[in-house]
Amino acid sequence: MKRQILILAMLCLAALAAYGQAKKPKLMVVPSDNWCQQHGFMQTFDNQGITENIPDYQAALLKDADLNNVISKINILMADKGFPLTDLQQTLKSIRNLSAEDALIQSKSTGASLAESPLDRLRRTAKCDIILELSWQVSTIGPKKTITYNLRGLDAYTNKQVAGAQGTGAPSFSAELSTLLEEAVQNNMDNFCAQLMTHFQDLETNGREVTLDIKVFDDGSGIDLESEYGDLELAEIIDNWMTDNTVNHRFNKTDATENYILYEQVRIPLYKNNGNAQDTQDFARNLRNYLKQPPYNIPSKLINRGLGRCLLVIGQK
Amino acid sequence: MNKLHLLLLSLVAAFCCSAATPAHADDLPEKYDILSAGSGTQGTYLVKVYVYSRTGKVADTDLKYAAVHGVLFRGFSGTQGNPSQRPLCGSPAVEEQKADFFNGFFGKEKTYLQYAAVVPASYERVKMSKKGYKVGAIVQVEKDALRKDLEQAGVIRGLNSFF
Repeated sequence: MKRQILILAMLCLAALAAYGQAKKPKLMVVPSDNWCQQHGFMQTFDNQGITENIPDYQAALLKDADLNNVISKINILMADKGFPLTDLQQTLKSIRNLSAEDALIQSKSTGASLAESPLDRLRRTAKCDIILELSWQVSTIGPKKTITYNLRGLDAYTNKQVAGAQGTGAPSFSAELSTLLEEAVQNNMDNFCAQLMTHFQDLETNGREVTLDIKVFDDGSGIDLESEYGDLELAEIIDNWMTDNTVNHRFNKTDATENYILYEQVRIPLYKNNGNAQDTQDFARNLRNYLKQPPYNIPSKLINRGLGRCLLVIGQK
Repeated sequence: MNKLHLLLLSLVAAFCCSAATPAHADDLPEKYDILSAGSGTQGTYLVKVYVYSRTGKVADTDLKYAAVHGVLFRGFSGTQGNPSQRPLCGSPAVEEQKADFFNGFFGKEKTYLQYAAVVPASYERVKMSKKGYKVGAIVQVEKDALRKDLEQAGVIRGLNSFF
């Protein structure tokens, strides 16, 4: 009997611990495109006649010791504040290793390999919810060196800058670049974290700000966002659902046609009705379930694009 | 005549009382200035504080109080190359909201003393026209330890507390 009570108490504690824990955003430090360009860490490729540049993080991390030091320092300071960051180098390494492993996995009975769509392959990149974009510039005036340091916290889904620290350090005659960089990180991190804190407080009060894309499959079924159900078009039905299910009815319908709707600045509750944490996929799943029910009976496919963005394709799975 | 005696007696008594208890013993300085004094080592702030005094005598405890109080509730402005910092508690209102904690922290327990150290040979005394003096020193504040202890006490929230 005592044992049963003990197990019950432990289960209750576990449930309490799980309750009220909002989904933690993933933060990662990456060098800015501008920094990569200046230091020669850009890959150039021809995209159907248009020359495009993309940053080569792999090369930057391998060849630039200062970049490694700065990322490491930021990681240490954030871990010290109880908020460890996802490491870019380790993430890139892990993606490579997992891709190699996945390619070798086979079924014992039939020899079948893992199912992977082109979309799966495309999405196998380093992802995070808040990008800490880092850059610095060394200025030399006579014998004096100064560092201009810039760290921006960018919400990957709303494209908003949610935190930032920028400034020029004290000029120095003798200090090494690595010392000046370390000093710059240390001097600016608290203000950066204070702004990040304000962002988290805003999430807690007004809900998580996310983006929801609605699109339509071109399957010849005749269902699009102008299809009528009673007196209302499908787009209006979705608008009404959004009004009823967002925090303080806050969302912005940025663009809409008969084939797609883009909802931005959608404020979704951090928690579901049962108290568990909620992300955009959970929120969009509710909309999918609503459309699946009579009188609409519309099947739809849900594609997750991270903690803060989701695509719902109407028409079929 | 009696009234004059009474007035004189009360003046003497008031003077004796004020001379017997030094300003820093029970009264914490109300007026002080705080600004950045450079980059501290990791986990610390280096601040320059000035405490105003009529006599020009300011105890280390007052300088430490000004440094810790400033870091917590005022933040401080930057100097060349050293950025300004926001208050650790977010706003001065927290001092009143969490009065139970801070009465002990700055009062009898004097917990604040363990987070600050005056840098030796950094003292400075400036004569203010007729209003007295302002006494300054560089103080090192253990801001990481301070923040962690305040988080544990539930006075401020950590980044992790939202998730």
